[in-house]
Amino acid sequence: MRILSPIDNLSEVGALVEAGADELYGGFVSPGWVKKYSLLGSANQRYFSSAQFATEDDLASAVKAAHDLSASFFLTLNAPCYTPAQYDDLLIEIRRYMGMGVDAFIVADVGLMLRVRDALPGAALHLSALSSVFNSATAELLGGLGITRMVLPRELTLNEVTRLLKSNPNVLFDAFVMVGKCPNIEGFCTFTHNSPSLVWPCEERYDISVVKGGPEAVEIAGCQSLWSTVNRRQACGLCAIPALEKAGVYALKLVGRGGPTKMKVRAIRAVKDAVKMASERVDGDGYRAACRSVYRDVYGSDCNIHICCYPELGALRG
Amino acid sequence: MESALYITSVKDFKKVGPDDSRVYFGAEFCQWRTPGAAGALGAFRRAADMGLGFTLLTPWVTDAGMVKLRRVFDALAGVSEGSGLPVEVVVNDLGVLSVLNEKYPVLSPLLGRLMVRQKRCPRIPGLIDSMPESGREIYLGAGVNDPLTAGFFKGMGVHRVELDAPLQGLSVDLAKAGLKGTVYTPYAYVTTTRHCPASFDGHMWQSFTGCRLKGCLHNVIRLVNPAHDAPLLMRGNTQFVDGGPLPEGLEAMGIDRVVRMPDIP
Repeated sequence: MRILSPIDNLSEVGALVEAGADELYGGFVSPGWVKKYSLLGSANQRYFSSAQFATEDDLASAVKAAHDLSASFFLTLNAPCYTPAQYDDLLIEIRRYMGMGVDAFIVADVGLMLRVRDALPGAALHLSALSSVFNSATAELLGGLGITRMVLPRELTLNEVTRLLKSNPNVLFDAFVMVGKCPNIEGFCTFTHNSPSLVWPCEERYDISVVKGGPEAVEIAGCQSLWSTVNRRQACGLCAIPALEKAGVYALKLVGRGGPTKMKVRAIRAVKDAVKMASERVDGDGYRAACRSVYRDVYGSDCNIHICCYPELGALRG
Repeated sequence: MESALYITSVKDFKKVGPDDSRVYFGAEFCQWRTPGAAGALGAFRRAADMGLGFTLLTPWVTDAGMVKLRRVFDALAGVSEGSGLPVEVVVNDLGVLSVLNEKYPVLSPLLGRLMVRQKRCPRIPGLIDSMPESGREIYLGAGVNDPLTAGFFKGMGVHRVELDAPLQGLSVDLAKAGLKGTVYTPYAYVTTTRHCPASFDGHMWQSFTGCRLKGCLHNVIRLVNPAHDAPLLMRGNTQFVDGGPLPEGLEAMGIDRVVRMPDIP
């Protein structure tokens, strides 16, 4: 399985590839775009500057540097939707990015997929997790639009992943394994993610009260408040790697655009180590224990089922 | 302007008002809340007896959820063909739309609130004033308002789209896209999860595989944050805001149906 890592600037290329990334994905919002639409109208699903390449030259150099190290580079254009004027601007920009050698564009919007398919048939499109491929029929439909690779949503069980992949043998699928678990379903979430503190509405502390219901509602409120007590940036699915490999997952995807390079490198190394352990056929319990140890090394704390990418496995730790 | 009542239980047929000509029945956000074939048929017959149009609400589904939904579609397609009474289905999943289009042409799909690509965060009203006009458009409209996107969905049998009136306002031109629109009031959808806090005691992730408590049926919580322009209201796995009164000029936007929600769905 390949390892797909986020990247935010040229200086990260060497460190990420050396750590084990086979593929890189990042974002860029051109100065012209920011002037016209602002970063709140971002061309991708990140609304803060640290998650974007700073300049187009930086982006072009990063694509070349990645290729020089035999790594692929994908550009995220996965805003949930665009205005007509934004579509026109995007097609012009995508031509430029193709000229740089960008290997594929990660997209989420049907309107953009249709336009790129018609106007730029040479552009490879990968489907963002925002497209919510929860079932085989969705994968089949979007595959019919020329999408050959799809990121699975975070909320599928391993059994569901296995079934979905089996039904769609002509599509490559990526699965999340490290960093960045969303409490809500990303493709259906309409919260804005632009707070200067980088704390999102799903993880903020709320004053929660009961509108309707009795003691059960109080328990529900307590349960919901858990999201402000866990660090969703410390999500992990290492334990699931053998099952994901068996299911036929093509690439293991790490989250963390806008995060520190050191953290990205640690996460890649952790995934690389786990893939190696999985290939060495360590038994299930032993493998999971080793993954928990890797997790402690990466994050400095024990793993937590609330931020487990595949919680049905996390529950096995008792 | 057509008026429809949104209900999640047949007991709520008693809430049908004199102006309502249709009921929306089912579940938009959770496959564990989806009525079975018998429940959907019962609601359809009750609506028919009361002279009301019938629209089934459906959620996003996994492959297992699709199997259950297809049983419901089989049943409704049968009675619709037998009775000549049309049945609409609100779809919130591309795969469900694909299945309806291929297998159930007698059922009319409507594009649901999870599919129309509107931005609805309660922070938005405080943010967009600082945006340039051309950027603000993305926060007031809906992705499905794009004629090319609309054409894709029309090719799959969709001729009506289901919208919210979010706090920051609404600006669409559905006629230009060749679509008709519905607006829901007063609760605008914001976000949904598969980690349902009302499904299992303290183990939200277990709602990936089922629901034991069904705490959504009787409980609603409010989440208040000073950074938001309105509190979030949460039932089961889904959060809403009270969007307040509907905006002016709905007809000019191509909206000719209002869905009343007497309670948080």
